[in-house]
Amino acid sequence: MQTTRRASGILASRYGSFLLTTIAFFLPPFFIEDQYILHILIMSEIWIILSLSMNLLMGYAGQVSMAHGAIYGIGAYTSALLCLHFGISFWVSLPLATLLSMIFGFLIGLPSFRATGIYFVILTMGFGLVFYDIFNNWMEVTKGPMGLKNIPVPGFFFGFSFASKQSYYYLVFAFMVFSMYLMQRLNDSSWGEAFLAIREDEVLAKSMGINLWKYKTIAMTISCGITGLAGVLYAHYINFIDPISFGLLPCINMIIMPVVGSMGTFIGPILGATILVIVPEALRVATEFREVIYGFMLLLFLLFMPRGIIVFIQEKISRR
Amino acid sequence: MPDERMGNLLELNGLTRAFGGLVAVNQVSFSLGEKEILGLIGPNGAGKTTVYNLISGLLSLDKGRIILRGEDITDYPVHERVKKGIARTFQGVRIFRNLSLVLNLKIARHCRLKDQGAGGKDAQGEVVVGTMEFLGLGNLKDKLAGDLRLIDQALLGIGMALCTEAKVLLLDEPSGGLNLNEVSMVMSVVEKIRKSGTPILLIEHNMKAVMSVCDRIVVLNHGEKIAEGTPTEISNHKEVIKAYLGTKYAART
Amino acid sequence: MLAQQLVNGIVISSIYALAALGLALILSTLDIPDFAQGQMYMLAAFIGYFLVVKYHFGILFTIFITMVIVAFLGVFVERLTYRRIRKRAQGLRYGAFHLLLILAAFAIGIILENAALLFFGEYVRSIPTPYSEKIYQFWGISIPQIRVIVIIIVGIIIAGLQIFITKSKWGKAMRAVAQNPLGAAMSGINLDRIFSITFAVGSAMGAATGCLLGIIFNVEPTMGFLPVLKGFVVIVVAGMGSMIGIILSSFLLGMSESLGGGYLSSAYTDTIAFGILIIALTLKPFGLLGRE
Repeated sequence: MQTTRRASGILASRYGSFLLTTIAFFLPPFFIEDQYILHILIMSEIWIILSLSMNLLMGYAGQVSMAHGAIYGIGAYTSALLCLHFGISFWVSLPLATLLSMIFGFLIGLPSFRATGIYFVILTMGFGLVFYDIFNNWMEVTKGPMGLKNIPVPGFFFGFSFASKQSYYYLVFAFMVFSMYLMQRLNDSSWGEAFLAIREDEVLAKSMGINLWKYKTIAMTISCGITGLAGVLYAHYINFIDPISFGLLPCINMIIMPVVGSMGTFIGPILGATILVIVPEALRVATEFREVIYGFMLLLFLLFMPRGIIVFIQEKISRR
Repeated sequence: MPDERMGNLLELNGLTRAFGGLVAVNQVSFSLGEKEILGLIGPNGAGKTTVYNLISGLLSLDKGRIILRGEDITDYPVHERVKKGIARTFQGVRIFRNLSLVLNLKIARHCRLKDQGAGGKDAQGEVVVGTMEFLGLGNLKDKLAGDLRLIDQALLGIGMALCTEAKVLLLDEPSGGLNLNEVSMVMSVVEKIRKSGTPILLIEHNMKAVMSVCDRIVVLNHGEKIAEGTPTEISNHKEVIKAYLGTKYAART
Repeated sequence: MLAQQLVNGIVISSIYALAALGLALILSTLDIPDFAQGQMYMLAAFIGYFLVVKYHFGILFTIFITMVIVAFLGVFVERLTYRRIRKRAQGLRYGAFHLLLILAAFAIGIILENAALLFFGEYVRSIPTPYSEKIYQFWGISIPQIRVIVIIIVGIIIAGLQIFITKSKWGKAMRAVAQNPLGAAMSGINLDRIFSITFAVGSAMGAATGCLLGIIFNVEPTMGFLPVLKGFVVIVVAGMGSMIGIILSSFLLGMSESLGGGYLSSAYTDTIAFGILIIALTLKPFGLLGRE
């Protein structure tokens, strides 16, 4: 186990957070029947997956990608199209769509990782927008702004039906736990050490013999795979997708979540995702002012808690 | 397997690099032999660290070639050069401050791991332990690198370079900011490293250290090599004295 | 037909050049990628619209006033947000602090864009000018007089910027800070003041861009989003460095969009722009004229 500056307390302990999150999300459907709350929780789970994947890229490979909204869309559209047009089962389209997302992630990484900093951001933004344009304009396939409807609910799997919210909740839950597990494994592996080095000081890492390109590409590919997976889960949950859900704004959300929670920690992205799903919902009361308030909250956050909630709390605790 | 040839370990031929209109390094050539400590000195801004950046690959060459044990590594990327055996430290001590000492060293071992994928762990933990012993850092292994005393940080930096199983060690002002005692500690470590078979290129401002520990010295000024020779030759060299105008040491010999 | 596309291309290219130069100024001196400039364009366009429609100001005067107003606004924003983040983020790694700035810019953009949507609704208007009726026609090409004027205005502003940067005391200080902030501070330059001035100038350029966009195209709350992205595309393709490089790059982008839009498909103009970006950066990761 590595010893890092931020390791103190149960919140920061990876295993503790894993357990806490798993239990916290496992229990609700047993008590809660309110469909709206279940919906919020399912969306939280999906965004947690997205947040974890972006945290992998940002917190470990140290790169901010603006292409992830598009990858989210590639996962969603691929699975939806495979099911709608070719009658393929969800259980086959899911891995296929995930694989395709990984491939695209790899391909986008190829030119992009030769650049750094702002260049990388703009380049991935370019990819994001190109794909958005394609989603929006390729009427024959994606039906453009009208979107794809009636995406089928997953069929029976070993006798389980996923038609109800409750059962779909656990489907997403399973994948969320899988994502968390994946992050744990990566962290504790030698790859994890390399990621850490790259994040802390790229030039030094390079000078110690670490192949930056290899690890960034690995992080990007895995990150995109998970993002695409989330896209599939989203598509078959809402049963309708359109290009808006896959543009730059969702990508910015994915970036904000780990930042709010605290990048590079384990529970940070999870916390950030949960907060950023619940807050906009809570803001619905404010109707038109919702977005403006959201923007202000974000700004205030960046000004006063730039390193994220978890780090903020830890600093407060260690000051006592 | 020891190489019995009298050949040079590291050859630098005509290294040249400009930034915009400014030529930072101009046709610099010299070589490093086995078991040698070669000092690289010169006034501030002479281009010494730039030469290191060219050798390690952080900067690309405009002209010239770099040959390591007979292999031309000029076009290799940075991490490849480390694999081939070039390791360096940085002026001002560059280490992973937020990570523990032992983790710093483990990271430096990465280039020697056979690719074991996500599950594998470094079975060569002995090298890290051995390096810590060699440098006397064993009892500090779990301390955060940024919390160490400067002398220990400097030794850690050297340790990291050693962990990459370097064939050539490039040290950039290892004694920067250290007191007299600490400087001699560092220099004795440098001697120990040379004895164990690794040649060293040494950038240093501390003239006493350079003169006592180096076998040969190369002097740069304004990006060009102005002298090369033994410490005695160098301290009496006209051009060198001119470059360092007013340096007490030249008069002191 | 080709000639017509080329001529249309010049207009859009010059606007891109103006946008890119404003962004480049702020990026090179303050190291801030100011994505919120898009909303500055929008504000400027709205202000310009009201000045023209309600108070019947002339075009040139309007643009000038708008530049001044938005310059102040820009400085206000910089002092309030970016500066605080920069000061607080001292301990963070370079990349992390950059990320915060980008997110802050987005946050500001979200606030401004949605506030505008609230106040102005989704009404789409265009800034009317007395020059819109006259159309020059020659060699089978027609150019509305207003477009020619736009090109001229851009030329004047860029020339003015060039003079300011090379000749004036502040301009030289800005360049010094861009190259080496620490060194500049040590030679007595007041960094904070230069930052504010740079932001003011950059925002003023953005204001002009916004007004011109409002004249040629439409004024509406979401108008700034794409232009600012394209501005960054221009900068990134050009590589940081010379003004000339940025201008050339804007023409590359503007012309490709115009020709592509005319010959291929108008729906995919943005794709073309970003396609160029991707190709250019793939070939030369630090910009066509940039270097490691």
